Amino acid sequence: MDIDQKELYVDSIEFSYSSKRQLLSGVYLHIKIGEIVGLLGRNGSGKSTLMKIIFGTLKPKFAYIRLHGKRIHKKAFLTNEVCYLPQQNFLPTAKTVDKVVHFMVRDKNSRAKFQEDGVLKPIWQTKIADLSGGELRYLEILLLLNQKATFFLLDEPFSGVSPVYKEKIQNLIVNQCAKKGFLISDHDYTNVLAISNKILLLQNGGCRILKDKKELELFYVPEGTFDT
Amino acid sequence: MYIYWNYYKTILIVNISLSVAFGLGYPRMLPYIFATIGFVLSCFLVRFFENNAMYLYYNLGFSRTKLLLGSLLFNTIITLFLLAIIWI
Repeated sequence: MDIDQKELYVDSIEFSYSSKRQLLSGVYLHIKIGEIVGLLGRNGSGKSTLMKIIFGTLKPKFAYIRLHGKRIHKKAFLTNEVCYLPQQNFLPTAKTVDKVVHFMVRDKNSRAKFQEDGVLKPIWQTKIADLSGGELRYLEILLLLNQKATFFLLDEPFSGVSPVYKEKIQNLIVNQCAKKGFLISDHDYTNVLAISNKILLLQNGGCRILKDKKELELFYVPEGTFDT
Repeated sequence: MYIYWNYYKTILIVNISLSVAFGLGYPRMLPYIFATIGFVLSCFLVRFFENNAMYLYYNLGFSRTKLLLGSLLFNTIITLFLLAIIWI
């Protein structure tokens, strides 16, 4: 399949945790290769829930998900085309960095690249439990980006990360952008906006496409935030 | 196979501990405990305490059902081995 034809299309997502309140209703989003979509929204607006539904680990009332033009009925992660970075760290804390890399990266050449990475080289034999928040997030994202998936759902990739690592993570994402598509959600919206080329706001159960960041002042951030 | 075995290793450690604890004084019962209640309880405990670690496997394209079936297979093989030791 031509790389331009690859897409992740999500429509009509209906979800509620209880019968009283509908969390997501008719959510629509479309990601193509080369797009970094920033997903913003207040606490409890359903950003993580939406990502989990797309990934396939949460069952919605209804969802229409199309991957590269074909509707998928099974869980999206089973296609190996979608990867998801959860909010909480997911790597086994008792293992060392080299063991985890060996487990997730089967190709020897790719593993050698990991070992030569400036961030990972000094911590290669360190246990996951002993890594700093930034190192751990960086490693998780690097491991995910090394998978053969085309679309990546990153839930709070900058959370609890120092500015130096935030920049490193941003570079990782931007460098992979030509061949992959990203959906990124984070409360640290400045870092998301710095790299995203499309902005979505999740509000009142639906997704609103924003033309530019100035429009965020109408719905998400205080007026005058982007004045300079 | 490597992925399945890695997932099962976590269950195996818990299962051995539980089976030994439940089977204290009844060594001949150990394979049966290991194959039944030990396995079920271990799966439940691993699911409860290591729920977030599942994303590691999901991102590699493995579902929980597939991993549990793989674990059941490994567990059965080890049980047969334990039974053989007892019978011999």
